[in-house]
Amino acid sequence: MTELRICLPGQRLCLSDKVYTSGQGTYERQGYIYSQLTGCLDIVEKDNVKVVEVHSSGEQTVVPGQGDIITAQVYIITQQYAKCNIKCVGDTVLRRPFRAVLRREDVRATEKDRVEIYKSFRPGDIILARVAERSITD
Amino acid sequence: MPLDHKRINGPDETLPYSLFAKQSTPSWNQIFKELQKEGKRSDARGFLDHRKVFLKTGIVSQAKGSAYIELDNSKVIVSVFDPHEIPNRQDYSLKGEIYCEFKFAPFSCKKRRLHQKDNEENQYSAIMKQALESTVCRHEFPNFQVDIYALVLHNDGSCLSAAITAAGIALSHAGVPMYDIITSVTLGIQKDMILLDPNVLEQSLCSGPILDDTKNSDHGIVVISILNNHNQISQFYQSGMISLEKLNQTVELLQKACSDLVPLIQKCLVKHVIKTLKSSGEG
Amino acid sequence: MSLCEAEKTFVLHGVEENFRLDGREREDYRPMELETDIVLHAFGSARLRLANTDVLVAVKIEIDVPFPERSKEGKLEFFVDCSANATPDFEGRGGEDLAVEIANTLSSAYRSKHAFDLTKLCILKGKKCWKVYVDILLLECGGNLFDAVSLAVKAALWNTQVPKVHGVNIDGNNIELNVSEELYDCDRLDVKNAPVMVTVCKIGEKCIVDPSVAEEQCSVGSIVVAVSGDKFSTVLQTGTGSLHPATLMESLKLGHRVAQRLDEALWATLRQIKPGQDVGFLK
Repeated sequence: MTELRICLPGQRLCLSDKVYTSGQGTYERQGYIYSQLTGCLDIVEKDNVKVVEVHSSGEQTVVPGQGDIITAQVYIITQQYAKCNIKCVGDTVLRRPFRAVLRREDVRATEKDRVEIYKSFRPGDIILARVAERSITD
Repeated sequence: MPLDHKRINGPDETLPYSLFAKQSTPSWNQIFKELQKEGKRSDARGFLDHRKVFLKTGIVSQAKGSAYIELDNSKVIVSVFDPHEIPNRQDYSLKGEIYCEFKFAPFSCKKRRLHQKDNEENQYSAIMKQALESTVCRHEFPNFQVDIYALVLHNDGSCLSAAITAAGIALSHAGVPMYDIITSVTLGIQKDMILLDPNVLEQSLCSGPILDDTKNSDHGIVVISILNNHNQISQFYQSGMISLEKLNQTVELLQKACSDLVPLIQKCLVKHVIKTLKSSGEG
Repeated sequence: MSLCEAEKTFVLHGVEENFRLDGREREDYRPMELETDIVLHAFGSARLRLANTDVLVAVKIEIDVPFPERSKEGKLEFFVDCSANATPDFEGRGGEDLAVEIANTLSSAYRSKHAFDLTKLCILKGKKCWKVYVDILLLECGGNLFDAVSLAVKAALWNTQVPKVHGVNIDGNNIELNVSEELYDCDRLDVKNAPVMVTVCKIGEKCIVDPSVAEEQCSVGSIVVAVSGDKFSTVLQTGTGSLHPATLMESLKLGHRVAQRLDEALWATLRQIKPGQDVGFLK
């Protein structure tokens, strides 16, 4: 649809019920869906449910989170891990690189114990990876 | 305050010339009586009128988000940068952090300010952080830190409120997820007179008691920041000496003043969105 | 120490039923112990123990030149040191943020003339004045630091003995002060209106005072209220949450009520202290 619907942070969009659920750029509070960003409203149909999303007008603030596919460049390798700088998250190129660690056990799915990091990666290599679950230690 | 060794400081024993011109400057008592007599302030405002506000986004091209606010003569620039990793932090936290810095430019006040942050600026930075922490959706950027820098170019009173309001706009411009639009207003009280959005002279007037016969009169400054759609006070600061009843009265006044600012901010943000869409549509 | 969700819910239910973890009601304080005149080198000192929170305050005075803009006033400065004895988190610069916050809140609370009269500290207008350094040492953190610090500071200032200046010899630019030779020929500071701070935390739907460490972690939002005499000397919202305006008003009322009770209790204790008592932890 070509109709422009601009929304602002904190603007109440609609009721949160079986028909509408909150998607990216929105949050739910006390039974209503509110917008988190300044931008345009989009309603996407997914599995018979309308997902309410807000897309920011400028560059989206993207942060590497769990499960994201990232593009990184290796800069240090040791026996146990390879340290990389994340350059892109999905399709978005980041302004600042974020640090990431690739452990020996996560390099490939088979023969995990016989991995040798220096045979798989060298400093300067570009890799495609998925962000793993973060173990929270108190 | 530690000495600043990196810059060449001026001679130590300098004094501002205004100290020697005391004979001609009116005393606080005289200024107060003038205001009471006139019923209006020096710029023809009523006691409860806010100054005209000018807002603009996107003035710092290198920052992710930025905003410029003018309250008549008070001018503040706020810039917001992308989330980045927190330096010196080993453990993981589920919430992101905000780092706020509030600074007066050396030429912004009547008396020259030093380049290093002094206690007042540290306190204002902490207050700004308090205000913005409840506004930003911190769970959206776990373990990362968003930097917010506010610089006052000209201090004509109510700079902290101006900075907080502009910071809200800058954060929104940067695309940082927020729960609501934040607005902030300052209020000064001297005896029975309530001055909304004081300029620098009025702010100094309300900071100290007037020395005359009436004992125990109220005086003080109140700064409040409100998330309007949810009706939540995210920051409240009062200094001076104010009684409970007066404080209750001022909170109601401030709520109304904050909600009056909201349409201005909405207009500014919408204008920005339309401009970006138009330029991306043409390009 | 971080609490799990079940522990937080337990604390919440306790607060709702007016029966907290240690059996207190919402407006009750934990037991306190106060000792004064314990640091020999200081002009005044006090130590306050509020359950697990331990604060030691020492007051030192020096002769200084007053600020040129405020030539009839002395100076009062607060320094807070979070010692690593309290928690290992305070090692190095870890406790700096907290220390700066407490020091700034104290300065803000004591700023007004009605709270603490700096003109009494002036010796010779424009040339000599007393500068009072209040050094606060946090020995142990058991929650509710602001209250403990403010009470200890008030007691230490009450205990402070300022040497009497009998005469002044002015010889061109050389000024010599004749300070009294006798040990006990001193003035005391007027702390009748010195502010007392109360931390009011909102847990669930109700507000409590004097939170312990566990309760501080469960609180959604909190405000620190400094009450001097009958009025608010400073109000600062701390913590990471936002408050509803009605909650804010309620917390202010509660803080006001409790602060006056606390002040009365403090004065009752101070009057009982006789000089030359041989009891104390540093004696």
